[in-house]
Amino acid sequence: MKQVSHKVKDRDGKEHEFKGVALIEILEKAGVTTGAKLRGENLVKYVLITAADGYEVLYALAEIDPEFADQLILLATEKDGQPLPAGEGPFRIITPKDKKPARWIREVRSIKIAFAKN
Amino acid sequence: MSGRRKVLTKYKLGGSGWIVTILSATFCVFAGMVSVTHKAPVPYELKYPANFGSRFTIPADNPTTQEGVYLGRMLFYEKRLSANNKLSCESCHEQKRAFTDGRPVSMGVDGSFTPRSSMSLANLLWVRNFFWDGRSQSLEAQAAFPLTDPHEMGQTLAESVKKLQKTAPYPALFQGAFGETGITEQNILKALAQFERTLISADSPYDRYMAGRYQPTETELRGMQLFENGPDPRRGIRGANCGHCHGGPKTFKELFHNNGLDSAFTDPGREKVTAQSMDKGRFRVPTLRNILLTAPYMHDGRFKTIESVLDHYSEHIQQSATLSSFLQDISNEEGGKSLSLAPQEKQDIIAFLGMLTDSAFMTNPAFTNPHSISKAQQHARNQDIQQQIFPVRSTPVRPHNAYVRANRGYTNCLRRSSHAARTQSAGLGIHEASQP
Ligand code: HEC
Ligand code: HEC
Repeated sequence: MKQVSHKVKDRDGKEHEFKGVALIEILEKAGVTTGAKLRGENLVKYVLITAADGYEVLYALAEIDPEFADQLILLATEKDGQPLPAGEGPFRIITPKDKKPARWIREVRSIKIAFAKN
Repeated sequence: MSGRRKVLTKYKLGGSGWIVTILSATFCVFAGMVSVTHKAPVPYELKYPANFGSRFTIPADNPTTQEGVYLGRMLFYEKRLSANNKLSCESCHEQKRAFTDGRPVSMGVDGSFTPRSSMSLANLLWVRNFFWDGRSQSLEAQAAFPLTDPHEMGQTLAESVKKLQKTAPYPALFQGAFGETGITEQNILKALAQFERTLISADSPYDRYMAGRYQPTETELRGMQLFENGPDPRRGIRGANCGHCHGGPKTFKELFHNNGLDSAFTDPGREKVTAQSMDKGRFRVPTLRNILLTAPYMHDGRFKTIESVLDHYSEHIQQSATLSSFLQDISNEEGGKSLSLAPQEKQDIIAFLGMLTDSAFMTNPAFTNPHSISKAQQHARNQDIQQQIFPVRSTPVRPHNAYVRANRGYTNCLRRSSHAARTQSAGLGIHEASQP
């Protein structure tokens, strides 16, 4: 898969270079409805990401698709040329345009895609 | 089916943040076919402050009812549920200690000790993964563990069913709560779970503070700041960062962390559940509500006093591969390796923890042992237990479907008002969790 990197300021106030693959590409490979298929009822799909410690964050599927959003959300595996350290890795989400890093979830363990129910 | 009616009323009591929802559930009258009316259970109204949020699920097949809760309470204090008739849930979960037992580990029917320390049973309604390692996903499933574990109550559910069938007033109580199915293994678990959901502790000075009805002392206020703040010596901010894991109005976030007790682990904790080495030594973050009454502390009860807990976080965090990153390299001294709280700061935090003591919870008559009533009363009660304890309903009610429906409305109505409550009491600990 294609490696992508983002230079962003983290919680520590310092700029870091995160490298990994685009989250959308992984979803695509897993058969999730992206791109042209992301319309109609598929627009009520959400992506629930859970960390090893149980922390959870949620994205709308469309937010992750660069055809909708003006950013590429990363599933990072490296920081400044090193594998992500324990407690942060092996996978971390980097959403460069989120002003607060609260959804830059560390220690990603599961990604669930589902239809929102009302 | 005809005559269906649904009333859902919401009251907000003057600024208190409490929401009382009265559920007059759907009344289903069966036209024509009713000759014998079986009295159906009455929905139980769970009350809690809006800032606790409504992220909880009550299984659709076990709605909370007055009869179910009362039966659950009877069972919670019932020693016949143990192999030697000497232990009940209370043996390890005493109300006066916020439902803990004051011991590092507890003794079961066979005289051996539980591998871990008993846990407080407050605000279980919001817990999604039970036990120190989160191995059980519902209160219904959880209850089977202590009942049948040979080192706890040590009796099969089948045996418990047999004993209860022979013991008044249980046949009547089970009928009242569950109708025709009566005394079954599942119904024992369901009733216990219903009672446990009502164990809500939400009237501490901290709750009153969040509702604008309590003025903390100087030391409590300093403790609250330290509890919430992460330390940042360069900007002159002192803190203990407790809120990162124990934050929010419920004083726990449902997270699993290694909080640095050991560098080598005799108890693997969460790893045993997930089989992932990254989870070695992680345990569930427990609530700190009523914490000053629940010593000794931690999953193995290693700390006898709250002071030693503060010393632990301040000076004795043990390094290991899975130590929580939120406890690494955080210090009140520039370049420091430990939190390094001053003695007065530890006292301040303890003063704040004292604000989490909800005295009414420890004396709430709805949670006390219901067996301690006289023989005469017992007899009278056996005649018609329902009539005495619960309000009599003349309309035949079918609560199961009805309650689920009503309950959904209830949840929605809380969700709507919780935002208002949040903005209203924008004090400490109300903000959302943020991980990094
Ligand atoms: C012999 C002592 C003992 C008895 C009796 C006992 N418990 Fe416990 N309880 C414990 C211990 C120890 C734990 C923690 C166990 C663990 O995490 O592995 C616990 C944990 C729990 C929890 C989990 C709380 C949480 O926040 O996850 C619940 C709920 C509970 N007990 C309910 C009950 C009920 C209901 C009964 C009676 C049917 C009961 N217990 C009887 C010792 C006991
Ligand atoms: C990284 C998350 C984290 C932080 C930060 C944290 N704790 Fe904890 N705390 C835990 C976990 C996990 C446990 C359970 C550990 C165990 O028993 O193995 C715990 C247990 C406790 C207990 C014992 C509870 C009981 O029922 O026995 C107390 C008291 C406590 N913490 C207080 C604090 C205080 C005070 C602070 C701030 C100085 C703090 N914690 C910071 C995660 C954290």
